[in-house]
Amino acid sequence: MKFYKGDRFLRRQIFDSGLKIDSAGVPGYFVAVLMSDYRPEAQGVFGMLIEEESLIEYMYIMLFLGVGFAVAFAPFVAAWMLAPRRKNTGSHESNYECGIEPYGKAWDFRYGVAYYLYALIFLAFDVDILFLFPVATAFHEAEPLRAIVEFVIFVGILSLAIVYAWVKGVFNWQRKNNS
Amino acid sequence: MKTEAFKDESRHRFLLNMGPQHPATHGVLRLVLEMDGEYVVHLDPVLGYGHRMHEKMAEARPWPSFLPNTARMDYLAALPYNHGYVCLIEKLAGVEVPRRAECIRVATSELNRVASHLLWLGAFLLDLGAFTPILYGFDDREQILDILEDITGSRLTYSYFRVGGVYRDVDDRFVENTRVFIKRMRKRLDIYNKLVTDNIIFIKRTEGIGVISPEMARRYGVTGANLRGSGIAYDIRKTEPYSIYPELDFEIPVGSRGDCFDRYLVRIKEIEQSLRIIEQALDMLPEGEFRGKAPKKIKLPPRAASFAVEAARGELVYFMVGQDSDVPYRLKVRVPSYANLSLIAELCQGMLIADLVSVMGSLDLVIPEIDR
Amino acid sequence: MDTAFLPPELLRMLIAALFVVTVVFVNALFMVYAERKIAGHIQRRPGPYEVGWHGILQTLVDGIKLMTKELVIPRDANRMLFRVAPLLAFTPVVMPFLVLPFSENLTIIDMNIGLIFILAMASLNVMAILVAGWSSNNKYGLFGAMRSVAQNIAYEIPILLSLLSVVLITNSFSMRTIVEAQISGLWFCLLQPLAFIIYLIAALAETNRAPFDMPEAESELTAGFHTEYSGMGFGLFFLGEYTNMFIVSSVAVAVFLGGWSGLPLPMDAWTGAFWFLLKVYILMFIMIWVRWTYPRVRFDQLMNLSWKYLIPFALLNLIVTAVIVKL
Repeated sequence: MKFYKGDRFLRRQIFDSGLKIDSAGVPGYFVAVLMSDYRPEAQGVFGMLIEEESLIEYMYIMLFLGVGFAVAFAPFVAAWMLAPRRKNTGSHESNYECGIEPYGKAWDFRYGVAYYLYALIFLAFDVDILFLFPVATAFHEAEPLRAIVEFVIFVGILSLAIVYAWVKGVFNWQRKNNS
Repeated sequence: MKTEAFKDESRHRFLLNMGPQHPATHGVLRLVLEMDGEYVVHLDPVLGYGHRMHEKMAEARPWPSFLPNTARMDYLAALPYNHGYVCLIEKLAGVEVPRRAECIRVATSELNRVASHLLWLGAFLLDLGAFTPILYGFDDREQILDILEDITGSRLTYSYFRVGGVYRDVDDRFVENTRVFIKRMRKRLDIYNKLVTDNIIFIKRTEGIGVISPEMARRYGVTGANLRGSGIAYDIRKTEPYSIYPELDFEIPVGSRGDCFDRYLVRIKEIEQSLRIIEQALDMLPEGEFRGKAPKKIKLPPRAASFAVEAARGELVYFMVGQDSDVPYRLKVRVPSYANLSLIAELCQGMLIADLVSVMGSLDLVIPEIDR
Repeated sequence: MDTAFLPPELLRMLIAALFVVTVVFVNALFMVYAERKIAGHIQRRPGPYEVGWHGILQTLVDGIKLMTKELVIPRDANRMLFRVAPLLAFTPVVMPFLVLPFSENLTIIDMNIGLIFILAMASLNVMAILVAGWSSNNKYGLFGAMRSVAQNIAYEIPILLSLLSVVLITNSFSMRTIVEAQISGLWFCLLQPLAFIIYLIAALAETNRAPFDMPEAESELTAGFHTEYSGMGFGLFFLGEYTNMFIVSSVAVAVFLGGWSGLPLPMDAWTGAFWFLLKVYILMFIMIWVRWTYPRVRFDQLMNLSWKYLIPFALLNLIVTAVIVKL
């Protein structure tokens, strides 16, 4: 086994952080590694290949996606091996509707429109709020008065979406008297 | 299986079964709902999943053998059912009941009513999504069941009353335990008020929901706390008093708007009144016989008679026709829940499904009583 | 330990993955037990008591039970989507752990868009619920799915707005920067009390916890979106729910309650993590407490609470913050 350059670096970092890894054994070593800096400044042989900081972040994200999927999938594999399987006997696989055979399929029915209006306001709203995110990060650089006025105007127009829906009675769930 | 109301296939309908296996239908009630999104456009109660032919059984056996059946109709408040039945036989046969027995009957019936209301309180709140009150309610109800078990020998389906008295005499322990319980229950009512009555979500879920107008209540023959919630002070214990009720001092709590919240308040106040009744009945408990001299064999005379009592859910009427034998010709039981359920179709039309659940909870339905 | 078998970057990645998986499972095991115990004591009963000391092994046994249960797929369901939904529910909940600042050192990676990353991953949960409810071809499931979508989109906005008002102060989405800003100054729950309250309410709704558990309101919709799921399919939704609770609490702690800051303790590098976890579990205790105390709100009340109260107040708070920051 050979030393990696990064490993020395790692050890220095761990030393700086004040953890006593020799006494903590393998778990301590694990934690110490976890507490070390992940950025490419802590260059190892592998790290030299990585020029941009964001690249290593992408690697983490991809790895975690895979791990998340594997962890979710593993219980299914276990269940597949352990769980009993039986032949389809009549109502065993029918949908649950309080113990009675369902009337038709759930997919065949039309569904009420109340949610649809909420979804429309949400769309109007959420896209606008997206614009506020870059604003928030750069807010300290802007000229004070102008920033305030523009911000208030933008949020004011944004609020009109709620006012409009409110006036139109979207938030008012009336009892329905059917004919 | 499709019910009559839904045979019209001309429209594309969103039909939904609620029950018999549903957490909010408390037993085996089945509602067929026609939905429009979250709204209930139309609903139709379907009964019969727990039918046991109690009335037919009464025609096939001597009348004493039917007494246990009465307890199995409304298993949550069985003693008023016992009470109505024995009173009916006493009326038909002209049997005198000693005073001590009357006091015992009233005290135990009211205890049973408190137990029933406590369970209703928990189940209602469970329907509204609060899990904790039902366990508090069970905690208190357990005390009542213990007290009643001591004297009756059973915990739920009592067959304690006998024609001319009761099955077994009560002792000092019963009186003492009951007094302790009354003290405890008064304190616990404060807890319920703090936990439930003042809760903003609970008020929002029940106020103005499921308003039963007095006119509508009369039209459907609604009785019990559901009727009193609509502002009509109709209680058999006051309007057609039986047993020792005329001598007792208690009030009939009434609501004003007839919504779920009023029905809730009426039942909570009824618990308080029941506690008062029990106290008075224990105070006036005389020494003496607990069972009068009833003839060994009573032949039911060939005429019709009926007797009404106030069960935990409303007016309970037994109607019997004798045939000069100990087997009755016909027994008809008028149960309160049946009438109380019948208005649900009109009441809940156009409601949100969540409101339907809270209305159904507030009506305090016991399905085996309807399917008897 | 003089040698490394892997390049340290890769080694760190694997250890991080192991760490997160451990946290997820231990948290779920602990929280299910804690919830049942706390619920029990709130309701004057002991809670699980039979398996192990004070029922401590109960959740483990339950997990094994879930694993050995048959996976029933309804005849009418869309078989593929029905199987995918639990995976979809669980996979994204691992991701936010990447940027959670457990302590000064113990942050797996510190992205400059950390907060947005968490929000993006957390909002994937609603898709899993929609797919689960719709694919099972069950009417109650469909109700649950529809409710869930409407609820989640309604409560995402107050969450975004309340967090935005903090970001206006810090001008950064990096979790570490946000926490450090609080260590040098005041905790943001004091600077932004309204945003903090709005966030807490919206977080309860976002995790579908009572009193906002509309998608699975058992007294209305039997079990809502997971009506048809048995065994591990149900188990993964359950696991996802508890992990989501952990995540929203962690965000609340990092953004509003000063993250890892706290009194110095003689625990070296562990002090920060201790304070962080302590705060997270206090918040989760409050969530459990609320669940076992309140009744469920009605659906229109739920929607209108967000649209009529939380969002307008959050917008107002945002404007006031923007003005004050610049003055």
